[in-house]
Amino acid sequence: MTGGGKSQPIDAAVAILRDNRLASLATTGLDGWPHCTMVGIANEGLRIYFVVSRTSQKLANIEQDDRVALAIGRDVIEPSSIRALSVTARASEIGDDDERLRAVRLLLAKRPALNRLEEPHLEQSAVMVAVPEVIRLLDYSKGYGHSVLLRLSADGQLADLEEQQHDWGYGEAFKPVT
Amino acid sequence: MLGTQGEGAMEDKAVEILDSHRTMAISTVRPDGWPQTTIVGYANDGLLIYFLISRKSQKLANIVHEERVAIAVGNEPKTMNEAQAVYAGALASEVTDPKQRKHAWHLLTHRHPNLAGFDPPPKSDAALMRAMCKYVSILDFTQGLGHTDGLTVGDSGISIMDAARTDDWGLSAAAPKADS
Repeated sequence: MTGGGKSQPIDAAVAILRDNRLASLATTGLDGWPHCTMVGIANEGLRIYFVVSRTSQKLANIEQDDRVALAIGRDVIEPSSIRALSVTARASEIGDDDERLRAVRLLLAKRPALNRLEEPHLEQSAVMVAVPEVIRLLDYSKGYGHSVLLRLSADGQLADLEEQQHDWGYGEAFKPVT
Repeated sequence: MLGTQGEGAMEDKAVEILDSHRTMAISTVRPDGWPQTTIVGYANDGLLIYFLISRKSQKLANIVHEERVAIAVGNEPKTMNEAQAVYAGALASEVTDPKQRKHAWHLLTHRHPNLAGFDPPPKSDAALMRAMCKYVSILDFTQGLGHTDGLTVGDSGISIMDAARTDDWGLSAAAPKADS
């Protein structure tokens, strides 16, 4: 069961964003093909920042259709430690100079190695934000296949929450490995 | 089978990257046009990828409606210059042939030791899927920041190699700063 107040699942989602710096980002092309690539991310609350090339298929797709999906998580040895997000969001280039600067700083803070390069040139790259609308929060420490679906209102607040258990017929309890 | 001549080196690189991972992001398209991305465990036989999904999942509903999917395989490199990844547009379908199901389960349990000893979950709970890569991008930044090669697997099974391109986000124009 999900304990805590209304902000608890949001806090858990933000914590997963904070603990990861790589996401798989899907966009859809005009021809209907999905397109999935990996991007470095940083976040401010639930606002997810990433940088794309101006010449990328991703950007062309987002300019046609701002609906994107992100998967964030890591391969784990112990299945009960699976904590991941599957996010449905709307993406756009950051128009506000202050937020763009903040986003670049947050991205660099997550990837100090990039500090060795110059900052990306704006003519060649776009600093983007993805604003989640629906988040599936996987937390297998609560049982194999446990997840919570969070629907967010326009202001980023939790509008609705739905728990789900997908145990694939294996049972949700973890047994000791023999 | 895929062509093994000419474009072999590129295909080998893609397969090498696929062989060295076991989870991928898979993007499907919902009937309303929204993309959906999730992470699944996989095993591959060349450019053919096997994975298991829940029968009740949105993914399966999406794939039944639209077989075109996209996958991303790669992991966090120590430095940008070590980044290697495979991105592909692929056609997905359920594996129904008993012999192929057995083969796929063998590959999956070999790649995912935590599945070893388990029988495949019942068909009523899980669908064993395959995705055949059709449009393949191979990122290999060991050959230069942003280095990407492309392969197209045609209907005749011949792999067509696209010209390599470099997309460096304007970063490479800047010489790396002195190591601090």
